[in-house]
Amino acid sequence: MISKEEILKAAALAKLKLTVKEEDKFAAELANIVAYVDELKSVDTENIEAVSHITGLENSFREDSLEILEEDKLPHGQDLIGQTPKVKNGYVVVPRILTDL
Amino acid sequence: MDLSKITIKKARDLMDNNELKSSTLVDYYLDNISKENKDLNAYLSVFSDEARREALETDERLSQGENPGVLAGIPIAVKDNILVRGYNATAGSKILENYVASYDATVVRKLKDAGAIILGKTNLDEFAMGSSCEQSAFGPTKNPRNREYVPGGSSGGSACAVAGELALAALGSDTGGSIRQPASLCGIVGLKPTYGRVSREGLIALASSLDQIGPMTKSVYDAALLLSVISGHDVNDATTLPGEKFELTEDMFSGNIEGLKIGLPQEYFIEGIDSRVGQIIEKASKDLEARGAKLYPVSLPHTKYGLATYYIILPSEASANLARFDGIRYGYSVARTEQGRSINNSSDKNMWDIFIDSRSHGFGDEVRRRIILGTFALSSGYYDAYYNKAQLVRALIRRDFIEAFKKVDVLLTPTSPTPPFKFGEKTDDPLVMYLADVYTVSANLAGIPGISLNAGEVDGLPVGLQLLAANKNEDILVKVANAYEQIYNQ
Repeated sequence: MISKEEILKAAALAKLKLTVKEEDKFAAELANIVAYVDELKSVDTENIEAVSHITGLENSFREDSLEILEEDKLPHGQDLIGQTPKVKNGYVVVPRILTDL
Repeated sequence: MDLSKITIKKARDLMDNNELKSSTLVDYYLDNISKENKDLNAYLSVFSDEARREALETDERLSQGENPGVLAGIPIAVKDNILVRGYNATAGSKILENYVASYDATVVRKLKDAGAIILGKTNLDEFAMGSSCEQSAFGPTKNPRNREYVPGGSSGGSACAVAGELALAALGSDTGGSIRQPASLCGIVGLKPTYGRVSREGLIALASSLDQIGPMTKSVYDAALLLSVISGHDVNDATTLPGEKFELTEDMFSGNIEGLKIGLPQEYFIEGIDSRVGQIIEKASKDLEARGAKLYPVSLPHTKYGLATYYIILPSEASANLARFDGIRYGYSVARTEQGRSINNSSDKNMWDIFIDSRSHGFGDEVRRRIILGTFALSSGYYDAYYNKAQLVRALIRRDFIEAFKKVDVLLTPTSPTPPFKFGEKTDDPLVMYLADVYTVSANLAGIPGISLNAGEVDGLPVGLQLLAANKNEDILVKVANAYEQIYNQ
């Protein structure tokens, strides 16, 4: 089960804001969905180990070397940060996080 | 030459014999796109100039006797959640409406290295969350077989492009059936590889333990060929399988399935399935039996928990993957004016406002629904009951398949429980839409490969059958699918 309060709390955690109309709509829809997935509670999973990787791979490492990554196929710094709202001297500009209390 | 009947195999043969130019092929599709895309809305962006230029270059190289690759001159569409450097990658969402990809996805690099020509990017349900292509922020795509019907989703644009003569093949992505289901609804071939078979580098992530990129084509051979090009271990994706790539063999296309064991999972043929779909699948199984295969009933006891498991795991992983869209680094942002300039005066909006407003305006309903659901399922106090529980049931679902494949070589099921549906038919209740995936989600949960191919029609609308095989057994899938394709085309 999921209550409206829980939905609003989850939305806040996910940095989402809902209009009043959306709150009601989502509340009904999500309550339905959660009621449906709640049926998993009845499944006996005693002594079952969760599968952490479905094809059983472990420790997939690569050499910590630039050589194996083809230089011309790597994106360049400007391409990567060139789409932020504000860039200055190669830095991404963001609003002040710490304010005077 | 009637290009509507052509396949990649046929096109390559003709090109190698100088009977067909890549330019002719590319012009054919671009022509169709200019006529039909406004209505069908398969493509979100089309690379006309680039494609024409590449086709001319390819023709030049072919005429000089060069071999530009196994896909030389072949026009292919790419789903818009896969990055093609220098072009928009929207993931069907307003939040990435103007985002320009800064690198090629591994699969795109491989297509290019094999000589393929990328025609453009295709429409999808927003962030690949959907089963009908009605959740795209840029309008729905139509089913080219009957334009009142959905093409399926989330790779609806890719399916429409191939079925609607707007591309010779396409790449899609499959997280819970998003390649197989639209392939079924549009009457084409769609293959979801084993998890890890194809690199996810450059695929905008939805659920990292479920996503796979795969081919959508007109024939089984074409799908296998594309898979052989795009598959393989990738240092940039630690979840890719080490070892040999998937390669084509003669045996796969021999048509000989004598003695091959086909399992029919009883749980897939009970309630919820449209009886006309059931009849088509039953006939298909008899046709395969007539060719020498052996049919066996099998049981996958946890089938009924597949959807619930999926709709906990998917939203949970999606909520984490979509946290990166914050209006700070890229994408739609309330800190950006319409001219793209920053309004970042610290007095106007604080950090949290930018996050919250950008995300709330940039994401559509279904995306926000699933993010909230996933956040809830992962939150303190609920994690054990939901996400952890789902992962345990997932282990049981996986085990069902492992046990079944000890007895049979492949499983045969319907791809979709119903024939294609009309626009708006399933959009009132999200849960009704989720049920469209009931036969496809388990393969993603277990990591096994699956293929859908056309098996018949209901009222002129395509119905596909699905074949599933054990991990890394795409060769058996291709073998049986190819044999069935031969039977069906007789």
